[in-house]
Amino acid sequence: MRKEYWRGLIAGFTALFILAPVALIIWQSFLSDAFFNSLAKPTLEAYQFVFEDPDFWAALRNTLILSCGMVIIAVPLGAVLAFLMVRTDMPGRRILEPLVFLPLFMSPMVLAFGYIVAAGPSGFFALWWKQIFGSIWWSVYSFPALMTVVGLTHIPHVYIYVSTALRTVPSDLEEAARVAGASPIKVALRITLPLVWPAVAISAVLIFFLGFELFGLPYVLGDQDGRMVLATYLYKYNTLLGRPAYQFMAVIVICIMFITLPLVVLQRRMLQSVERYSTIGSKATRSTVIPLGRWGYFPCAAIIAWLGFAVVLPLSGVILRSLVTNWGPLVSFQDVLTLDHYRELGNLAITSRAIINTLIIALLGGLASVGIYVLIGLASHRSKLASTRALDFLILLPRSMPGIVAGLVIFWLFLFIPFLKPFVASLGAMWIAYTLVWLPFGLRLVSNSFAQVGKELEEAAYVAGAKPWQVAKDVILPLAKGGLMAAWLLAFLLYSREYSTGIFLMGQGNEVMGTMLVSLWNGGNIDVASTLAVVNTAIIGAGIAIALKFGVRLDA
Amino acid sequence: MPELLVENIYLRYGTVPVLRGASFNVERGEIAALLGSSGSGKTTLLRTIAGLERAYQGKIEISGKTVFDGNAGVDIPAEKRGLGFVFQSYALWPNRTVYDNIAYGLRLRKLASAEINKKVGNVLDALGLEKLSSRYPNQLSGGQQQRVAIARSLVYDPAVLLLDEPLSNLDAKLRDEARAFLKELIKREERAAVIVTHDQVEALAVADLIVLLNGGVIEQSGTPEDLYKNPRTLFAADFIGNNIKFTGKIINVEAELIVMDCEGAIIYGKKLSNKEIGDEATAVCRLDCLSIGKTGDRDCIEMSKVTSMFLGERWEHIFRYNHLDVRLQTADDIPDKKAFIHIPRDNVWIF
Repeated sequence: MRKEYWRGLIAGFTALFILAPVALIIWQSFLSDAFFNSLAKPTLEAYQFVFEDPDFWAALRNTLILSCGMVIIAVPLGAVLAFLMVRTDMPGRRILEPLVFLPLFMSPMVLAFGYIVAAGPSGFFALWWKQIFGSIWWSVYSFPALMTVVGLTHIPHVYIYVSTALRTVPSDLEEAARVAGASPIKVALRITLPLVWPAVAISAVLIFFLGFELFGLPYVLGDQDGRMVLATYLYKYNTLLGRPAYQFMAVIVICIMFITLPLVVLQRRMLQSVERYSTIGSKATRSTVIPLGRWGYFPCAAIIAWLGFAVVLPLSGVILRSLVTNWGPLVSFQDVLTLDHYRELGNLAITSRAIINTLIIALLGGLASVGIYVLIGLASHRSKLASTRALDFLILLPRSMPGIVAGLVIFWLFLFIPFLKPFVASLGAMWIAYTLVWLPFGLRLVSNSFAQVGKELEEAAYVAGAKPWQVAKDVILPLAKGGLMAAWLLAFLLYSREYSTGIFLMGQGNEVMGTMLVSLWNGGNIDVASTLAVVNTAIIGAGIAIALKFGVRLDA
Repeated sequence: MPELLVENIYLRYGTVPVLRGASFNVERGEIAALLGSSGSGKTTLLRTIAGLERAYQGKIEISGKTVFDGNAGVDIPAEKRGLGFVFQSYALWPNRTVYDNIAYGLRLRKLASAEINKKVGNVLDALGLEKLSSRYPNQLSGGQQQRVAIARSLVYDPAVLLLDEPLSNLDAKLRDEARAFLKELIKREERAAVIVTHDQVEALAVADLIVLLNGGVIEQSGTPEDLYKNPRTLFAADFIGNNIKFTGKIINVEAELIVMDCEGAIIYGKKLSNKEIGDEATAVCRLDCLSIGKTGDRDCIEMSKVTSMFLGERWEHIFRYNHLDVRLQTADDIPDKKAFIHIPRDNVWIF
């Protein structure tokens, strides 16, 4: 009998990696003080305190409203965008195809700064608008503005699901309806939409869930009038009472996961039932597009306007801000133009360290994480063991953890385990938190690329005399190389963008650009923040360019 | 001692039984064919021998060594069984050249590179692949890929060679050539080989022993000639050969002879079941035993011709008596509208 203990061993370690933090949160939530405090007693006080805090209910209500708003804005627009890109001959769709993914890779912190310096009360475009039209009718700090921003920046998530579904709809079904006398609009509504309805519903659940993960945008844009969402409410307790109130934070984390976990489970079940359904249907067939003719320029212009709002506007804001010494009404742009901020960025130890740390964690950390995912992926690859199949469900736990929560629990874990305590503010701790946050996504990428390797190719190696590790080394990994490289590139993009996971773990020496942006905002240092935001975006942009050059799909 | 011994193998997928007690032996230099329709369990049985599927009962021995024993809890993993396996898809590693594909098994066995070179060279020679050794699988034709797959499974000198539908991915013309090549090669190399096929012509042509599987059990096994001439069950009679088949009621049973009434036509045939007068029964006759007879001949029935088709080397005709249709092949066309069809009682089996 082939010995498969190693699979169980890896599955066990992974389960420990996932469950230990969760157990720690639950335990902490029932204590009267921080778990490392000897005075901490078991109690329900923390729950009582949080549930009696009107701010908690306000934050919960705000989160729900924001999530619903995101669904209402992003889902219909994302579905229409997918239809236009996949099923019509809209002009410019070839060029727009990679561009519509850009909002996915914009750091929310960069977006938030960008809107403030571009369209805030004394933002560039706001002041220019005022010069021309006399008055400003919007406020970036208002709740509707926040909802618009988060809604419009989450359109790509919907686009990914719906466009994938649309590509599998055989166009003969549509053609049959056309021949039977239906107009193109009628076909879209009566034939195509019902077929991709499950994908639309799945993306709606996803968007609603992502509403609970929001941190950077509500933190920066919603802060001024004291409007909190659950994630920013959680962050508040780090400093609100003079010292971190871990027991309250644990309760808030449990409340967040109480909502997000069912959503993740629901999304997974919907996905599975769709997959079952879609295997019956035929594979993607020749697809004919609906001719829009001259009308096609209208939606094309709308998409460009959307990209202008979601990418160009905030990005140009931070770029402009990074090039001026100061800015306000009555300041002429030419007079204040400078490159000093970039020099400062290099001269300041803390910012140059943040840039170097980001590159290290994104390049090497990303590679190391993919290595971990490969090990876990190999353990569950074609495994019939109960232990590896249980992982399938366990990874829903980190999936339901917003980055800020995962960072917090890893922080606690380092405080909890004596020999890890000295390393709590190290880049290593940061890497572990990143690896936990992106475990579900990374594992899916890695497993998918393993699943592409034909079963018989592996069996051929077995019968030729290869042991399981030799099959992995000689057959699975070389053949999955492309997928693994893509996973590394995507990890690079996500790790260099990441900002919320490291917030609690940031200390002297392990600053990364994302967390640096948060603390620069806290300190009100908008010049350096904008400059760092530009550099951050440039690094991500370079990553995207490399990814596109190697044909990596950004919608993985 | 047989090179490969398979005894009473039971296997299920979940709760679905797939193999229900399959047994057969293969001697050195002998080719066994596992024959059956899809879902009969033939590929599963082959994969069980290779160690790619796990049975829960039974015993498998290779060259006298037990590699699986359900009762004793022995289950040697595939990589330690030392078998050759040719996959239906050939399963050539697309990232390796022909040479590296073939050499892999030797490298795993930690042979010196000079020896690897020699052995791979020999097997490349034997299969006529010398010129292709630096090519990648996607640069080869189907027939060449098949040869590489065989070379890869032969190079480390396995006692038993397992082939899963090795000819099914080749086009018809190439298949006939490859069939002869395969048989000659296995005989020359003196292996014990098991070949899985759903094609009875292929099994008859290649095998020394045919194991006919039906629903996870062995319906009948024996030499090709034995299976062709003395089928013991209706399934075996019908699966092999080109047949006509008709059903009817038994009207008389003598010692070895059954008389049947099929749509009013009286058919005589060999008794191969325990059926009695009044029972429904099925008669099977090989197509090549039918002929045109004369009035008054024994076992002749006058039928009217429905249609004739020219098949190239011969003609095929459909004759009808009431609702009983009979296919018949002749060398030349039959101009008559009616003819006496001779259905010889010695060649009719009644089940």
